[in-house]
Amino acid sequence: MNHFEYLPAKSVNDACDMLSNYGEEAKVLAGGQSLVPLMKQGLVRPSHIIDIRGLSDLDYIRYDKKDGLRIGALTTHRAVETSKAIKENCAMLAEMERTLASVAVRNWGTVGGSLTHADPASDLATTLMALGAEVTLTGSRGERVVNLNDFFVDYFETALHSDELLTAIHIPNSGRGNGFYYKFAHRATDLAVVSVAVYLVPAPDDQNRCQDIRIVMGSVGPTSLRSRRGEELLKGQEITDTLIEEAARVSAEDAQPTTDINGSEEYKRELVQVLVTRSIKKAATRASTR
Amino acid sequence: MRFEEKVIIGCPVQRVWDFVMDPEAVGPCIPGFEKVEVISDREFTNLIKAKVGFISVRFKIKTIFEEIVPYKSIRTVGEGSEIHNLGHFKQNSYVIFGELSENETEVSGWSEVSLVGRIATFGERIIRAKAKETVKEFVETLRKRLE
Repeated sequence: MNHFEYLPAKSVNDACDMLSNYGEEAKVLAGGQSLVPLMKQGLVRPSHIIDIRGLSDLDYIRYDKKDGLRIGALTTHRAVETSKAIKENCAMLAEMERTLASVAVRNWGTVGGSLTHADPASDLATTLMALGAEVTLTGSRGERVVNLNDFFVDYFETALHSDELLTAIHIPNSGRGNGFYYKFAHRATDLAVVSVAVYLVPAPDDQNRCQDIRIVMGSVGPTSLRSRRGEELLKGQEITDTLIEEAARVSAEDAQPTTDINGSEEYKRELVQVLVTRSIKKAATRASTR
Repeated sequence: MRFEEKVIIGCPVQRVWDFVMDPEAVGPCIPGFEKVEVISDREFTNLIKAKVGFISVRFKIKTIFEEIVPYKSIRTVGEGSEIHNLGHFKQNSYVIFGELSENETEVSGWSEVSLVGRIATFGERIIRAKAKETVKEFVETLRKRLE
């Protein structure tokens, strides 16, 4: 590990000032589950480490019927997994957390750290995109809110400016909808080979008709990807097996997988098709019985 | 990792050949190119920077023209290391030049690339995708500079 200057932040503003001073040479330490292993391997060599772990005002989970869920950036994965408010109002998120790495990692890793790391295989990013989440980015020039669709830019790249900190996640009230996250990995603690998150809102007058849907695929592109064509096929339509299969087929076309040690491009497209089919069916069943 | 590319360049084969055989001309077409040092008629080294998100690496790569058939084909081998010793790189490439007309040349070829070390362990999945993009970008820059 290289030598660096350790800078504990006293407040969000203090952290933003330090980020503003040191720019891209500085890295923010939250849970340390991504940054520390990379530093140990010498892949990341920051000159300054800004430790925000002491900012307890960024560690919270709040639920409001109208507003939805608000989660502070320093909330751990384990806190999300075990939160009563999340289990009752956004079960898909708590279920996803159980598939994310190991309990030890979930005890340390934070939701803000995970999102800013921007790994295209991120379980959290894929699920939150399906849930229509947005993030608050705080910098020395103020705050801005960005939808997750626009937050992820490329492999490990986000829309965060070098002087900004991700401070909160907002999941709008899910209303009548429900969702499902499906992860395919070789071992339980591995990154996803392919993952799919689907969130479906049935029509108010007909549980079998899809009013709105978000289909998100993980680990098959530079960021988690929406299948807009798959979504458009289902919106406003009666949910039938034929239509689900067609949406899954176009989703597999929309995916951008690459051949690697986990499987060929063709194999991953096939997986996308299977997982999208299963996830839509599961989300539709859940939404209709809500 | 194997990459294959084919491009049609709108200029005579001789001009394409002269350009590709000049490391100082072709070097800047490589995304992330920083420096070239010509060692001899058949050997040169390039310093290339690659960046994926927060990870930034620099490779010093020595390339040798192993086989030259003027205006027809070249075979190169290359080897190099990341300057902080994060990985070791090897490549073996074959490029064919085909004269389609007086003002049109087809350049096709393949490259076998292997990367080992910490950088490869970290992100084989990402390196593959990025390398594919890099090869495409290189070919496109080459075409633009020649036309």
